[in-house]
Amino acid sequence: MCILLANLKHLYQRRGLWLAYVLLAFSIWVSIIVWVGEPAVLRGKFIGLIVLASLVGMLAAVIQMEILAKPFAFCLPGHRQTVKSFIFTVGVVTNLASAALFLFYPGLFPGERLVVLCSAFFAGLIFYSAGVWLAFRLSQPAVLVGLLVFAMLGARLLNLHGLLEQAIILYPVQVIAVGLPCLWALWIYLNDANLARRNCLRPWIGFGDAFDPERLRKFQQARGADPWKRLKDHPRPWVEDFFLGRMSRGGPFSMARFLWGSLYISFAIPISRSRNVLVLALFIAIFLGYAGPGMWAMLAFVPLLLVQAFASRQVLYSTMLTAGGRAERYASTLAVAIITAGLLVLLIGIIAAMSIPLAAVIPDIPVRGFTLAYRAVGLDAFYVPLVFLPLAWVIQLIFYRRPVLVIVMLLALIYLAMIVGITFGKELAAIAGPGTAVALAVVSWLIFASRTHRIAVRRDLVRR
Amino acid sequence: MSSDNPIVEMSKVSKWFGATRALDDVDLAVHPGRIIGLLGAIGAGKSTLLRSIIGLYLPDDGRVVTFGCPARDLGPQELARIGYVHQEGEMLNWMTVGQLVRYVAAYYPNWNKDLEQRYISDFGINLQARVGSLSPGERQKVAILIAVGFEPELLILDEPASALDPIARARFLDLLLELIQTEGRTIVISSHILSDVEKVIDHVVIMDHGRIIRDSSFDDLREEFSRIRLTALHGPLPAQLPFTGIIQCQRSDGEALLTVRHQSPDCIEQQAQAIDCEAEIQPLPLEDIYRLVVESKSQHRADQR
Repeated sequence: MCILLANLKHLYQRRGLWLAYVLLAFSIWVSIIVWVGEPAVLRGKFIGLIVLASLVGMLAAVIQMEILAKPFAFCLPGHRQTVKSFIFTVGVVTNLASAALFLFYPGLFPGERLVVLCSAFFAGLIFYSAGVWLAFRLSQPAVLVGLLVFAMLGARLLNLHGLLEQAIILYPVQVIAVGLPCLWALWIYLNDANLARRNCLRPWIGFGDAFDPERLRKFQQARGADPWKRLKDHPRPWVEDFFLGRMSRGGPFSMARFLWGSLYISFAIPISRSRNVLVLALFIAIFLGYAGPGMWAMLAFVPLLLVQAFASRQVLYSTMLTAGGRAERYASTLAVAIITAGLLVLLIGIIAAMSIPLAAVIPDIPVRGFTLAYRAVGLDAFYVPLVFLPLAWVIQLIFYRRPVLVIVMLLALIYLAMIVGITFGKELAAIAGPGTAVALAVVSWLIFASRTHRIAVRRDLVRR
Repeated sequence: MSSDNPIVEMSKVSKWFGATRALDDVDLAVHPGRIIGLLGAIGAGKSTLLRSIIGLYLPDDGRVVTFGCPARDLGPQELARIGYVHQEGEMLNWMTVGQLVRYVAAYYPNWNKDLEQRYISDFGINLQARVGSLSPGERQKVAILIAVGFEPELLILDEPASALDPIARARFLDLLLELIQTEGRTIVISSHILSDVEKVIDHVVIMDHGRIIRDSSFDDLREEFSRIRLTALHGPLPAQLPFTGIIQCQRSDGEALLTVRHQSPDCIEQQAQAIDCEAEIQPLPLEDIYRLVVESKSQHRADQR
C-alpha cells in the first residue's frame, strides 16, 4: 500500500472525523436546500459549498499536522511528499464535487457553464488553501471553527456571499487568475523541505485533541509559561480576599466554606476580568443590533457549546482533595450552575440594555445597495440558556470522560431545538409565553438536579 | 475509636472498569501509626485502592470504611484528616502557587504556616509561578505541600516522587521521616522507586492483578528472605548444598550466592559449618523481595492451572 493510500484511509478509519462528516453533511444539505428552494441568480444561493471548502482544507491539513507533529514523523520515509499529495488530492476531489453544483446554475450557455465550473472550482480552492494554511500556521486551529460561525454570519450581513457568486459568474477569468497563484503558493509552502522539520514535536492541538483535557494539559505545559502570563495579576487580589474571606467566615469544615471555595475557583477569573466581559458585551450588542432578531435567537444557543469551559464539572469531578465530601460537591455544583446561568442571563440583559442607548447613537450603514439598520436587541430569547444549559450540563457531567461525544450531543441538541422550532413554528408560537418558558426551565433544572445528585452519590468522582 | 482499631478497613472489595477487574476481593486493614508501602506493577490496582479509601472511587462489591465512616459518606470532618498526593497532579492551573496554597489553606483551620514556609524554602518553590506553567517535578512538590500543610492523620501518597529529581527526592524522604516522627500519623505510599520506599516503611502490601498477594510487616518480609554468600574454606563446594528453601542459586568453584526463604540465621550458620563453608548473610533489598514475592505468586498460579 502506498503512503498516500495509507493516509487516505484516515478519512474513514478515524471515528472523530465522523463528527465532521455529520456537520459537513448537514451543511451540504442546507446549501442544497437553499439553492433548490430559491434558485435565484447572483444572490449567493450557490456559495455554501465553496465557502465550506475552507473547513475541508482545515480538516485535511489537520490530519497531516497530527502526523507531522509526532516525534517519529520526521523519520517517516517519503512522508514529506505525501503531505502535499494528500492535501491536493482531497482538495481537487472535494472542490470538483462542490463546483459541480454550478452545472445546475440557471441561465448559462453550455460553453459559459464550463468556464463558470472552472471559476467555481478555483474559488473553492482559494478557500480550501486558506483553510490549509491556517491549520498549519495556528497552534490551535479548532478555535477557528468557533469563529467561522461568526465570520459566516458577518459575511452574510455584508452580502459577501452574493458578491462572491457574482465574481464566480461574472468574472470567471479573474477568479481563475487569482486561484492559480494561490494554488502555486500552497504548493511551494507544502513542498518546503523544512516543513516536516519545522512541525516535528511542535506544541499543537488538532480538532480531536481540543476536547481531550489531558492533551490540552500537555500542550499547555509544552508551551511553557506563555499562556499563563496572559493572566497577569488575575485573579485580582480583592477577588481573592473576598472569596477567601467568605470561606474563613464559614465554620470549619462547613458546607458554606466549601461552597465559597467552589465559587472562588469557578468565578474568580471572570469577575477579575469583568471589564473585558463588558467590552465583549458591547461588541455583541453592536453585532446583534445589526444582525436582527433571527441571529439573536440563534446566538442564544452559543453558550451551550461553551459548556466545557464552565466550572461545574471541575467542582464535582476533581482529584484535588479538599475538605468536602460528596454532599458538598453536589451542593456546590448546583450553586455554581445556578449562578453561571444567572450571570449569563444578566449578561444577556446587559447586552439588551446597552443596545437601547446605542440604537440612538449608532447610524444605519448603507452597504452596496442595501442598508444595515441598527435596532435595539430584544429580550425574546433570554430564557433559552435557562432552559437548555441544565440539559447541556447533564450531558457534560454524564459523558465527561468523552469530550468529543459531549460536543456531538450538544450539537444534536441545538439542531433538534432548531429543527423543532422551524418545523412546528406556528404551533409553538401558540403556546409560547412566560408560563411555558418557566415550565420548561423548571423541568430542565429538575432533570439537572436529580442527575447530578445521582452522579454525586453513586458514581466515581475521578476518571480512571 | 481505640488506637488499635484500623483507620481504614476494606473488606471483600471489588472494582470493575468495563471488563477489567481493577480490585479483586481485596481485604485490607490500615492501623494507625503504620507507614505502609503499597507495591505493584503498573495496572496492579494501587491507585484504584488508594482512591477507594478516600471515596473518589466507589466499590462495585464490598465495603470501605475510613475513620469509621463508609468511604462513600466521607464528609469534611473526615476528609480534613486525610492528605492525598496523586501521580497526575490535578490542580488549578490558572492560580499562582501562592494563590493555590492560600486557597487550600483556607479549608483547614489547623494549617501549619511554619511547615509551609520551611517546605517552600527547602524545596525552592516559586510562589509567583502559575501552576499550569510548572514542570511535572515542580507540580509534584506543590502537590506534596498542599497535602501535608494541614498535618493530616492519614497521608496517602500515590507515586509522590516519580517526577522529582534525585535531590528533591532525598528532601522529600527527609520530610516523610519528619512526618513519621509525629505519633499516630499513618502513611500509605505507593511508589515504583522501591529503594526510596524501603527507607521509610514498616509495613508492605504487595498487589498483583487487583489482588493483595502479600500484607505483612517489612521486618517479617526481610526475615523471610535472605541472601547467603557461601565460601568454601577448603576446596570446592559440594555438589548438593544442604539448605532448604533455595529460590536462586549462582555458583562457581569455591563460592555460591544463594537466595533462600524461611531460613533462620542460626540454621544457615550451622548448615554452612557442616559443609566446611563460611556463610555471610545479607539482607535482601525490597526490590528483590518484591520480585520474588510476585514471581512465586505467578508460579503458584501457574502450578494451580
